[in-house]
Amino acid sequence: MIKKQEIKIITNILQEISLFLMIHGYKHYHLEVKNDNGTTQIIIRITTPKHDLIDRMKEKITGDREIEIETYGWELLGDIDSRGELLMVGSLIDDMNVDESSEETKITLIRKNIYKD
Amino acid sequence: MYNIYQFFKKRMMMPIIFIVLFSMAFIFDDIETIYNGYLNILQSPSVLISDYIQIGGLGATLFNVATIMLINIFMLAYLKLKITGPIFAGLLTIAGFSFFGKNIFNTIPIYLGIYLHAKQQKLEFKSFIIVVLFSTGISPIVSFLIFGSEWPLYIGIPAGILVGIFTGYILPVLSAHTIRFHKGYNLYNIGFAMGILSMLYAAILTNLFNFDLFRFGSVTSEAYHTELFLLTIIMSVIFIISGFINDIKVYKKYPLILNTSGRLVSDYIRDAGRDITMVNVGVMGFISLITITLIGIQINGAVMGGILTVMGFAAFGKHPKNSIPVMIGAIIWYVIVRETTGQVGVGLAIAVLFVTAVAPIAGRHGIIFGIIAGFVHVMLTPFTYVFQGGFDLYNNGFAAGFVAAILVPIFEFLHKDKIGEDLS
Repeated sequence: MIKKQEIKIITNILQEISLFLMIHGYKHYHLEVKNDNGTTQIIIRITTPKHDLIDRMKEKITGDREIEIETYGWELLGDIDSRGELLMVGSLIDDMNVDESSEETKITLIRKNIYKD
Repeated sequence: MYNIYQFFKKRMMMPIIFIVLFSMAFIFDDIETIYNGYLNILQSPSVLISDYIQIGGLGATLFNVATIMLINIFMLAYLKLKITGPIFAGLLTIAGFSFFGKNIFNTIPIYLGIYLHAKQQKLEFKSFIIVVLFSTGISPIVSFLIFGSEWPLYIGIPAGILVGIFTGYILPVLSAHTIRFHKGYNLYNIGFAMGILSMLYAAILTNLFNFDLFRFGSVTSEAYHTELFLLTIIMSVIFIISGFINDIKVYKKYPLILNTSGRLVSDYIRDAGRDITMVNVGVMGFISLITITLIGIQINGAVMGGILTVMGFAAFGKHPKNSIPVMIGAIIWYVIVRETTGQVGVGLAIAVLFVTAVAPIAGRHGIIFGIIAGFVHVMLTPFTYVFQGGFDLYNNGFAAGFVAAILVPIFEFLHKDKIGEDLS
């Protein structure tokens, strides 16, 4: 079972990504969350990707996880008003994969849960 | 030689700064003077504004600053934490406030409280490192209860330690909540959280125990202005040169910092790299010196704390473009007060530096709104000081929380369609 704090962080990441996509004009995208074995996967599917935007997402989200952001600052996620916020998403996830096909772009964010029973 | 440089660069020159501070302590004073001065520092009530240079002398103060820095550097090494923007800011803030309020004695109980919180949450202590590094801004509550309450030591010592542990225990929860109050536009968020807590302590001690919290007054010493001015120049030059050693064209990366609002959580080491961040730290050191020189402020322990805090936050949200407008706003009020009353208190003098807590407002909303924010901030700080009883060393963080909470919604309303521009 995922702890409440973990759920709050994941939902804030989802909100942040939604804001980022909608502000950049995406009206159709699909968000999916999978959780098993203490790992959460956030899967974003975009059918009409703007490649420069995907590159920017990759650039900002790809980075080391920073454990100190877990207890300080993540509450601001979902309140985007500058370029920096996606960088904070990068601090809260461990890995990011991007699969591009002719039909869609699939971005998978992987987060090892730290809040446990 | 290059390996030595890489060793120090990885640690953002902190070991060099420690060596400079520690060495200077023994250049200015002999061991006996330092020892006696250090005892005076440890036994001081330490409420705002207790300038340790006045209380213990310059040598003992630098010894206090260096040892507290060393303990925190060792703690970071033990926890295997790399120096990020927030951690660098925390280290230099600790160093700064060790000039006027923090000492080894009054900080440990608060760390212990945060450790207990981490245990109870089943999280690693190091995940709370940002709160840990800034938590000791409320350390005067420990010193006050032990040395300032006039209670017998067998009551004062346990009371001070227990309140310190309790404070540390609840601070992570409080600081997580307060960050939403100002939406990350107050860089000293933990100062705001501690201000709220200090307000409660002040109310309890005043109403239930009839304490006069302001009977100690402010003690400051400007006797070592020249020495501290030179110390700041040395540190700023060390940072700027260190930034250029690796890459002579590092200045080309400056827009990566200058084009950010600085809003929490802006980690310039992560986002722009160590080299240009070190340059920014040095530049902000010089901007602080130019500012105080222009308006004739002499450096005492509290002003030195302000300078080091500005330099520290140059890795965590502050840069010339967002800091200068709010400083101009503060200077306007400073000059008005000086010209109309003929004197300026130390609280207002240091606010000219600490006003940069609200620098992200200028970074996000521009120069004019930045000047307004700076002007409002310095007018508010004397009031927040009275509210919180002097237990929160980060009084400017307490004030900045209110300034941001009041002004940011108004500025956002006026700029409501500007969000897309920031993202381009």
